[in-house]
Amino acid sequence: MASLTETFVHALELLISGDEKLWTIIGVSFRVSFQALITAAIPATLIGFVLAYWRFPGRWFLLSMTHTLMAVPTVVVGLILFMLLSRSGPLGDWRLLFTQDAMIIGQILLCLPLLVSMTHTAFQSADKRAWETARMLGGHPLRCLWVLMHEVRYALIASLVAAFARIIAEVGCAMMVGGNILNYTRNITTAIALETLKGEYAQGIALGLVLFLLAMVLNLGMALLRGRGQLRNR
Amino acid sequence: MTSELNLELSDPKNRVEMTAVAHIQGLKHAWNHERVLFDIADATWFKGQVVWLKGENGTGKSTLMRLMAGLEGVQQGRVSFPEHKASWFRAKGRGQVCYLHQTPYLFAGTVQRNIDFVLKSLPRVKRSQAIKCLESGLDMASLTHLLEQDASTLSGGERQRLALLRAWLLRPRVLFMDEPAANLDQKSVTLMKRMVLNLLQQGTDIMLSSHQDCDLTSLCNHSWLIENGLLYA
Repeated sequence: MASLTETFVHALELLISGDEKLWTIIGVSFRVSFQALITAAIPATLIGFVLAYWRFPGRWFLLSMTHTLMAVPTVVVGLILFMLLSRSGPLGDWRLLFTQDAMIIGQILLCLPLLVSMTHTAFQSADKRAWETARMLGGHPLRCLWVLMHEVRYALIASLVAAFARIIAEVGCAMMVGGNILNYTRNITTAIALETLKGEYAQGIALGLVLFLLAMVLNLGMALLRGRGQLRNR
Repeated sequence: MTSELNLELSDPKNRVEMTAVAHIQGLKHAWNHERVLFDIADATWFKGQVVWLKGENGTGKSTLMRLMAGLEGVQQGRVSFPEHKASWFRAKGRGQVCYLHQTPYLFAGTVQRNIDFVLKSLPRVKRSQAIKCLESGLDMASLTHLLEQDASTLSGGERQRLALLRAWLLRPRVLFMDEPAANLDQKSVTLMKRMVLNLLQQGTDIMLSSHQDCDLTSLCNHSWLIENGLLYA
């Protein structure tokens, strides 16, 4: 077994040399996670808004369910989706198991509760007068929502960043419904798990570095946004 | 202006023929369904009345205006505007009844962006009219030189004037002003008075709340008093 330093150097070489296999895996990860995030963002924002501004029976139950779903392990979501999408499952005719679409569905299910919860908190924390003023000034309901979203934009962006971080780093669901097929459904996390089992540590570390750098960029971005948001609120 | 309105209202014949702006029936509001804030059996706000809503702090002036503007849910009773049907979901019903907060909320961005929100909310015909008179509105509110300034950096008086300018551009049928002159200097009150007078001349029905006498209340020709949970109209 090569030393840790040698493995690390090899990992960097793989990244810098543009190793096709490695960058395909990174590409799959980003494509799947971005599509899941974009698909989930609009309904999650609307649900978060409705939960924050509408009073209806069952609202607190829905909020509690959202918080509960946030805590469900990714592998459990993967298992349920696997059972639904498998040939003998109720959605077996869709033939989605072990496809990128299945991974996208899984990641949507994973990030939706987090997005709903965070957008709900963002809208809840907004000044109530913002919504009332937009309404009183005769704005179309969707324009009023847009204005409100602009008022809490930093918190909304932070929720997108947090959701993206959650789904790009998850392994359980992607492994279960993606199947870890090379050049198709193998993403960063499933590849790390596989390469480590094979003893190919360099590729695992290279992919781990990508996730680490991504986490750093996202967190720095969030810290910056939080700072700007706080400055504006003063 | 004020005296003309007073003459018109003092004549009982006129009162009979006058149409109602708003009608309140059996309106009861309580906090946590326990402490009754007010219980109004029947009250009518007639066209031509510029109402000064009086009352001590905490008697429910703001709540009553918010209820009438549709910002609070009516717990018991009814508030109706016989002349028009305000509805947020129909294009024709939007912006007919407007409520101005005691501490106005300005949207993030410049003064221009705040004005643009109203202009874009207006139907096409009203929008072109509003754009035409924007300059005179800015001049009246003395905000022309602040168009590109961030709204969050405006002073209290400027904020209040910008909030009123937005409503002035909207030209609502009914305008509720919650303590519009609180903590304002004389210059701002005078500027606001000009704008309110202009709105009145254009047919907007105005109700304003204030617990003290000021230049703006001098425009009122009728008063409602909330005391001990009752409304004396």
